[in-house]
Amino acid sequence: MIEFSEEGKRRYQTILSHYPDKRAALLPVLTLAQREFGWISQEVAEYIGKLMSYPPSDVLSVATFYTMLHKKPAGKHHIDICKNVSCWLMGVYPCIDEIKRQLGVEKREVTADGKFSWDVTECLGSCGTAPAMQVGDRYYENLTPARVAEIIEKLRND
Amino acid sequence: MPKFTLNGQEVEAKPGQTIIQAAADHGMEIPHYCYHPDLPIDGNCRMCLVEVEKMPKLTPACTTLVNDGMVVRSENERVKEAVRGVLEFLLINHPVDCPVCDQAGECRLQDYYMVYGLHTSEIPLGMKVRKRKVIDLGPMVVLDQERCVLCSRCIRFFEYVTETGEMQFFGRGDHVAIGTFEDRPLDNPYSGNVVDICPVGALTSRDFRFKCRVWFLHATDSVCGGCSTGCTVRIDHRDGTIFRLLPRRNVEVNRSWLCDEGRLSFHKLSDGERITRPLVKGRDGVQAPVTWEEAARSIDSRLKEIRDTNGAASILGFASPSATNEALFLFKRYLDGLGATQFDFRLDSEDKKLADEEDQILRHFDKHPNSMGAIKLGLMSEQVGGIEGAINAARAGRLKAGVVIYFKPLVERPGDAEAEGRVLALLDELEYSVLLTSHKADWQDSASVVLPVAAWSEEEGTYTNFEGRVQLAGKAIEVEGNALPVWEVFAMLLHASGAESPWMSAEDVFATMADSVSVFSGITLDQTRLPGVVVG
Repeated sequence: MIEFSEEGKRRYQTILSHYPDKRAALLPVLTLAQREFGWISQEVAEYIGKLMSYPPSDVLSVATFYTMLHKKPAGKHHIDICKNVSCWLMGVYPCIDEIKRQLGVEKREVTADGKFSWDVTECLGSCGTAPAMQVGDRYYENLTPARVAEIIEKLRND
Repeated sequence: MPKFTLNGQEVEAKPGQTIIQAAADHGMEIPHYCYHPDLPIDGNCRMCLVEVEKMPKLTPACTTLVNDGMVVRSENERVKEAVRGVLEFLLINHPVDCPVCDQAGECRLQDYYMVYGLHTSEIPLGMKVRKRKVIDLGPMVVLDQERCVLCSRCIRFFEYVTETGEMQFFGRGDHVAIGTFEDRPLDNPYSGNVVDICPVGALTSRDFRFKCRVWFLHATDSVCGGCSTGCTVRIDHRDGTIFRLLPRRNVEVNRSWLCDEGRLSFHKLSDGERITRPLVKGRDGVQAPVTWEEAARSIDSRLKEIRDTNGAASILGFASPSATNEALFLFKRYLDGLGATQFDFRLDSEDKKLADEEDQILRHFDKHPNSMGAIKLGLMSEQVGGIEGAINAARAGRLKAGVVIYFKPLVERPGDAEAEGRVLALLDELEYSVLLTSHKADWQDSASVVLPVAAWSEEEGTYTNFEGRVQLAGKAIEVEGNALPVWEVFAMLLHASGAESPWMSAEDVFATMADSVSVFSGITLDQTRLPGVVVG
């Protein structure tokens, strides 16, 4: 049986306090769960359901709707790289190829050391500084293949 | 009462009704998938789009309330064009596997395609989004995600009717599919209902799947014999075999629902051998077949003999709470004629304690369809005190003879074997016993006479549910062998005893009952059809 860490439980209570009804807090709690457990497994969905008085099917239904909630294991650093018009025009595809070369895995796969996974995403709202990608909470902008290699190298030693 | 114009005709609606409901009340079906009269309104399928004058766009008839003076059109070209478009969208990823789909013949996709669609699909087969098929969802339901139109009726059923929330949408976009968490089986006593309300072939019945094409089935209106809620049902049958039970909508009793136990209860009828001829025990103590006339004469003379030697109080009438009102009425009339005073029907005093099989939706703890009818007809006496009292009285020699009606319950529960054991004990203690029953069992050797009678679904008759609602159940299939409906057996016995016996049908018996039993007075058989009539 899985459980939030002590810190997670504290954050969970804080999230609840922002909403008039416990059930309304489902999305931020799922985000918290993803931080705690890495991805929303069926076990996690069931745990959240019990915690928030939802049938597990409802939790999974919400989780499967949002692409930023992982439904299968992701790396410690998950890279979301934008492939929409601005980024595309500013040369994101060579950057994507560089990610692939650096990590040696296809999108939505996890590297053998469990450190990385990546996916392409729709617009990150950073068109002025395209191409852009997001790793965890952080944005990396004005990408070039060289810069991508640099960032990955840095994260690898993190 | 708001008045509005529907396709050029001025009609009245009840306050608070939506267009689709008001139209249905006037016999006009507006096409729909997600709308269901007994579920909360969702408005997701867009099939019920209609034109309302002064509204800029077409509007869904299921979510739009009727207003006074509204002008609604549901059959003009603009509406038809829109509905055709919606239907084409719904069919984009549909596998069109009708030849092997169990829903064929009662599928809303097929029906509406013939009325509104008739288009050629522009999606090449290879481009359709494939989803999972033949997913096992427990004892009642099989899921095919490709056929689903995502109307969410099943999801809303589990959310609002059973409040258990087993089913949900998963995924997004054109990959959305319905399902249960981890494909868990639907462990819910009402899960069979989602098969009925599924407008397409996505949810099919594990029990009925591939048994028969629906257009070969004949339907008979009936009442479920599984418990004393008396849900209004339809029996679908062919060539003397019942294939399935479906709920008939009755707002006063079961709305559109039926529990799984009740839905499968008809299988009990084909479980075990039937008795086909009347059997009378000879001097050698062996039951031998006789004709009905011989049986009736022998029973009547023997009962009168016992009455004359031991008094009328030594004759017991032990009824079955599964027999029809008509059966119980003539049963009592015949025994009253003999002067009998000892009546009961309670098979076990434990009945009330088995409350765990009951819930707030439909299922009632009393697994007999007509206990209330037996009570209203005066067949319960504290003097006898249930079957245990009767056994004790017979053992003490106060009861000598008994006429016993016994039907195996259609819904099994713990304690059935004990109840049957008590019937055997009663037969054993009585000097002379007449048993009316439908199915063979070895313990029946103890009875002096065994009479084969029609089981549930084999005769027309009325049942009175726990709240006193009298409902008519039709005859779906023929009785086996020489068996007769219980009321006919007693009509025959009344005739043998020299009393008047003018009844030709259950309807005749009902009319006599309405004349002579005050609780039923003034009711005609016609009034016991949907939704039934509550007696005092």
